[in-house]
Amino acid sequence: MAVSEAPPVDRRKVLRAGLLGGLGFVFVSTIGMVETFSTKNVIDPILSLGYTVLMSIAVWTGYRGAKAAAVDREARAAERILSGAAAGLVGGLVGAIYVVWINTFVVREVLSNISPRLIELLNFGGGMGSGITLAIVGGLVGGAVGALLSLASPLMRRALIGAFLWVLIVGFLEVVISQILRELHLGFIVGLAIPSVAALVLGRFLQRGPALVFGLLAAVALGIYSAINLESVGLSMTFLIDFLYESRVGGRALTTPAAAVIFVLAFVLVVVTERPRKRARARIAAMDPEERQRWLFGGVAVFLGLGIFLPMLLGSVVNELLATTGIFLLMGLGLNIVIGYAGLLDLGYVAFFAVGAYTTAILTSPLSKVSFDWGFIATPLNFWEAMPFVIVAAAIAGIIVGTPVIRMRGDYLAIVTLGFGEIARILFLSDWLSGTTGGAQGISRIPSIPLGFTEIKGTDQQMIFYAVFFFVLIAAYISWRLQDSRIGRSWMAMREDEQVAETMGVNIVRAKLQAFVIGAIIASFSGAVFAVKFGTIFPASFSLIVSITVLVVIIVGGMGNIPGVAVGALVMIGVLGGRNSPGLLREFEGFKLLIYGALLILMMLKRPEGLLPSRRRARELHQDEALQDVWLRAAAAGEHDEDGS
Amino acid sequence: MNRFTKMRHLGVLLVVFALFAAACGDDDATTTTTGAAATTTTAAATTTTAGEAFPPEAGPAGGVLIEAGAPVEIRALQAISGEVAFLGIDQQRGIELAIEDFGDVHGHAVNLGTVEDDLCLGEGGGAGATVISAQPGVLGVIGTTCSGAAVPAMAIFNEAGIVMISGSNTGPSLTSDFQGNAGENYFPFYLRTAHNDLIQGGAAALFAFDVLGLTNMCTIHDGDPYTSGLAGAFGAAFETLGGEISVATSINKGDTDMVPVLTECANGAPEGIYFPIFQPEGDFILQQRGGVAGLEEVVMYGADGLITPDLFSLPEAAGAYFSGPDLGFEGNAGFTGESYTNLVARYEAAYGEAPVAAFHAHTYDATMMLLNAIASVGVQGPNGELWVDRQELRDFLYATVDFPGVTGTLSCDAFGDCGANTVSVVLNEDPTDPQAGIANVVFRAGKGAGGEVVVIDS
Amino acid sequence: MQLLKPRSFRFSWVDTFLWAIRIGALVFIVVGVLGTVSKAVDGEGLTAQAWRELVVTGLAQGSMYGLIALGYSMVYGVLGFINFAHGEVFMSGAVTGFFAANALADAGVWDSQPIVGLGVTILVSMATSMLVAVLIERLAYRPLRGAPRLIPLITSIGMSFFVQYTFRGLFGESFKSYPVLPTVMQGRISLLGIEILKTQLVVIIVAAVAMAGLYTYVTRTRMGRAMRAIAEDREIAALMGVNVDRVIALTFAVGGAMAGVAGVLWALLFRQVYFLTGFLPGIKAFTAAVLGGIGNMAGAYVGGLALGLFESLGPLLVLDGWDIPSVSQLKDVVAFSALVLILIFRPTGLLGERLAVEERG
Repeated sequence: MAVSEAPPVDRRKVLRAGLLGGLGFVFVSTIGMVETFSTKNVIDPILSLGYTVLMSIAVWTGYRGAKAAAVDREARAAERILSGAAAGLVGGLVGAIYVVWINTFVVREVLSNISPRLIELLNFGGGMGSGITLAIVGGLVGGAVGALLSLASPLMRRALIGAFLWVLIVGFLEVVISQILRELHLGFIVGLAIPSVAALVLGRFLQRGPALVFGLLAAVALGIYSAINLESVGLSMTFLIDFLYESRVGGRALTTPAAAVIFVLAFVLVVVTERPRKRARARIAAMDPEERQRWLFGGVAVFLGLGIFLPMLLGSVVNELLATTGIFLLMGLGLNIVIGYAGLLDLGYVAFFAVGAYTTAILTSPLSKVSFDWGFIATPLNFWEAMPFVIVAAAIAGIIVGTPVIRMRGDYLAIVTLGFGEIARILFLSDWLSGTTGGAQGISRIPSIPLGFTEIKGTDQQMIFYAVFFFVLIAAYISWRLQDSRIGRSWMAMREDEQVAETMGVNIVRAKLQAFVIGAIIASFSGAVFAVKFGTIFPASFSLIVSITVLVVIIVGGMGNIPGVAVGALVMIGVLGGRNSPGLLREFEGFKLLIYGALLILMMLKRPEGLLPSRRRARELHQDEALQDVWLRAAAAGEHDEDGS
Repeated sequence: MNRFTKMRHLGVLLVVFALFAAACGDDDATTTTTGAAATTTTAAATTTTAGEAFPPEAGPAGGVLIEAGAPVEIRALQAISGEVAFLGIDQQRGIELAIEDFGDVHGHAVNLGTVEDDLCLGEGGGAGATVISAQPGVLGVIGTTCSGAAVPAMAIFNEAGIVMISGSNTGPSLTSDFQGNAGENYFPFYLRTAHNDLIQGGAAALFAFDVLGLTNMCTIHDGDPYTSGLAGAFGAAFETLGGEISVATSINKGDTDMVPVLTECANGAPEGIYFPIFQPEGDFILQQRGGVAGLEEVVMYGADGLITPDLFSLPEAAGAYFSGPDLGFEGNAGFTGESYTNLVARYEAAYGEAPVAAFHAHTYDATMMLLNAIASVGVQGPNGELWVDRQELRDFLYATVDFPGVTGTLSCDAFGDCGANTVSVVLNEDPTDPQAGIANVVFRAGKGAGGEVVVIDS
Repeated sequence: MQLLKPRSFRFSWVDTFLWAIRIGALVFIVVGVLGTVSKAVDGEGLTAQAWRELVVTGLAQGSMYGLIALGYSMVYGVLGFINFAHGEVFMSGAVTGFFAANALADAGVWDSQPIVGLGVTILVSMATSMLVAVLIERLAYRPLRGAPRLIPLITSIGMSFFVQYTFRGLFGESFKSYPVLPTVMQGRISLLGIEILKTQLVVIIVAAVAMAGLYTYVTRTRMGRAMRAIAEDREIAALMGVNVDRVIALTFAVGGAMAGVAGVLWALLFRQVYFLTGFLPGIKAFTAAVLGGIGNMAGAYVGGLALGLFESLGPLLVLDGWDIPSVSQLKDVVAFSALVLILIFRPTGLLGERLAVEERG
């Protein structure tokens, strides 16, 4: 690093990267993450998740350190590697000091996760000396690797990281992947392939509606036929399961050869598909609206095909997750209307979900104390008979919540609706109304959904998924139709500026109540399916955290955009899992909400418009950003730290 | 264009309809698939069998063939995150210790796998049960921590033929009312080593009415299914004995200001307050009681959720009674002969802290029962395989009589209630010595042959 | 900005409905109170002493709500969004205060020098809360200056989870019981004919003093003026030479300090704290801030006291008169219903809000 004038390496940044890495090391160790994750192996005998986390921190530190070498001009490779290693070294030193500290002092009285086991782990089985050495060497090596990573071309980097992530993912999804492989049969694959290909082809070449519809229906029917009739042709995949996973007492993990194979495969896949992907992206960008529309329709058809056939393939675990995701997606679609379209910040949305669930439970459970007999209809009702009551109850709830808040603005609306949510939960819980609602004991024995020839049982995850999917389609269709309708436009006008909208002739009262009522009805669908899915409901399932989760889903996904909400639900509920539901990554359980919180913060800092924003909203946000920059420049006058944003 | 749009909407609707049809058509597919999955294990077995008799024909719930060298798979479904995590983790440790003590089952190691989180909610129970039942060969589950999670979980396990034994569910609805009537949430594959609320409520009421001579009481629960159930059982038993519940009220979890609820109680001029709730709300009730007029002399009477050294050391907890499952485990020895005292010592050595609840003992016994049953009904194959029939396993467990456990002698009734069902009442005399208070049993009662409460000593 | 715009609305069925709610609520309250009074006349109801007790506990609880609410209100004043993580700021102080108190108790200071012990504990707690609040602002909110309000709101929800579970990771998930109070602080004291718990008295007094100190600070000092200037109009304040970032950080620090004080007071009354201690009081304090008129400091305090009183008195005064069982369980229903009603009658809260000039709708 012997450069005389204008040093190309920003030493402060290297130091900062190193310290940050060290801090990360100390943090994950102290909160117990390393210890907990050390019990989960990623690659069977070699690598535990705990060490994976530590190594990732070192690599990341080196990567950031190396970046510091390229402040003003393209730094030479040696400089990059040196500064990356230097950052890693700094981090390693911090780690070494930490190792000395926990070896010397007993701090478990206060910091309860600094256990003997953690000390043993950080000492790598040896004494304090080996812990110190390995922390420093590990930091140094990891840092150098990170620096090398920063030297690689973007494609190479993406491929390496992608391959690594794939190893992790396949390792994590042991239960799911084994189940899929075990239950795989030819019919599923054919059934999945036919409608997907048909939809794609039709979407591409056909323009006219009738041909499209009948073609699709034929494909779907063919798919169903093959799914059922080719079922006996089982594909024995046990050899693949045995190859992939080591079966041992104390959890299953990837075998070393499997990990190597997956790494190479994924790497090759990323590299090979790079060019076609680029081309496809360019083509989509160049499409005219007409063509895009056609493709979009094809996409919807594929989505439907997948919705029907994929669950047959995925096994009960994934179906259960998808059903839970769908339940939140339904609520997300409803709340998207209330917040995304109409701009009403509702923090008590769970109330409508609860109304749906409780109305269904009270009217359908044979144990319910509410009974009536009106001649043509008598309790206990079945699911479909109860639906009109559910819708009416939800609409009434929407009006009750909506009316008092019509003249309240943003934050008042938020706290008052939050209050309504809590009021609803406590009333359902209360001894006062327990004659109807079951109080703390809830209501059980909620029956399955009859379909005439068959029924949707709560324990049959695949059927429950179909039920959820059915309601999701309805809700998505409603949302989509409303978007550009007269009501939708008046909502949008109201969201932008209430006074102006009113001057322009929008009936604010009606528009707001419509938003609340439609949102409430959609949430009540979700509640109804929820009640059937679990067969029993307790007031604890309707806490404030559900409202917050749904809000998070739509904002992370991309507010105002239907596919965005779906993506948000998939990521935040299906993969991560909320407070009230475990997601795909169950191993993180104890740290789930920590990671959840960190992701939310990062997301809002880096991509506030959501994963899949509506174009309009993204534009609004970036406009704001531009304004903000102008203001910051004016306000801070050189004092502001550019690094902050 | 307009007509085209309309046609498209029609198309979407038709597809939705088609989806519906597909959903129905699929039902047979699913059932056969599960059947196929169940037979995979059997089919695999036939290839390895030399003799005709192995594996035997599977019963109505299917069976599991454990290959030579493969582990016996059992699982745990406990609340390991959230507010009651300390209870779930305690139970998880009991299971781990039991597996360690029991050792191999006919040469097969026992694998607990990943512990699933019941979240203390129906959602967690349902999701956890789905994951567990998706793994092949799981014979039994120890769980759940919370009754609310047990119901959806059992609906799934019952279909899969997986037995579940809980160490901490106490709701009568999961088993029976002891009068021969199955509870509304009873499932044939469910058992528990925890006590039934009816016994604790009945015994606690008996002590209050007969021994303490109280005739007018106030009950407080916190909206939890457990506490509301217990308070209800207590109230019903107390009124049957001839007492009066002048005020039956409740608080919410997270409440801190207990003066209003205590004032509400005081309104009925009770002689005692039964509050079978948890910490920290229980602490607040004890601490704030002194400030409420009319409650200076009342008997404070809590339950097992409050029997902790921390609460017993409160100055305000002096003179308070607490009902709970009998914790006098010291003299007991488990199935393998391991004494409870020794077990606790090992617990502390392994986990770095003393047990915070008694549930580890219940899951320890539950795990022993399960493993013993697997070993007993398991049929050994010629090449070291082990065949376990699910229905036989369930029936064997239900037939458990006088099983020696660290929580007492366990016998299962026709609805899966296997707990020792011995309830004791302790009196906290000296807050400076909480351990003595916890051990200071002043009353003990158990379940009689007809499900009635029988006084053991008082 | 005007919130109630009667001119622009026709007297529609909504107004009729709102009037029906107002009248219905009033009737409900009056009948309930009358029911309770008639019980008292019959000699069945609560004694006068019981009512006084309820008022005192309500005030003590409300004082803490008020102190926490200050943080919400001040942040709202300068940044215009709800800082959901403020409950966690309160929790962080309460939890670290425990370790200080425990160490002091082990050293014997807690019992021999109660004032010193309490003072040190409060200082530790304040320092932690300030630090956490300032860190949160620096890391999560500063980069979001000027973003639409939902963005920092979601960030603060994320921050709330993050801080909660970081504390759980650091200090474990068990309850932490503060050492038993020094003997001088146990028991009751007779004041103006009311027997009042010494701890409650300490809580009410400390809260009032802290509140008064803060009020003086904000109204009398340069920094306080800068704070108010930013609340009025951030851009103009910046142009006038106010260092916006520093003042905002200071606002968070001051709000955090108040939450830290509340954390120790909380522990004095209830003794037990853990990583979720901040959640419910946070929500309640947020409610209190709106109740008093968000953005208004005195309003936060008054809102807190009012909320505390509603919670302790409401169920027994109104609901009990209707012979509803388990009224204590419905405490939060009373609190939130009171909020809704007050906002229907007074849309800007009890004391009215101090809103910035800029549009925040």
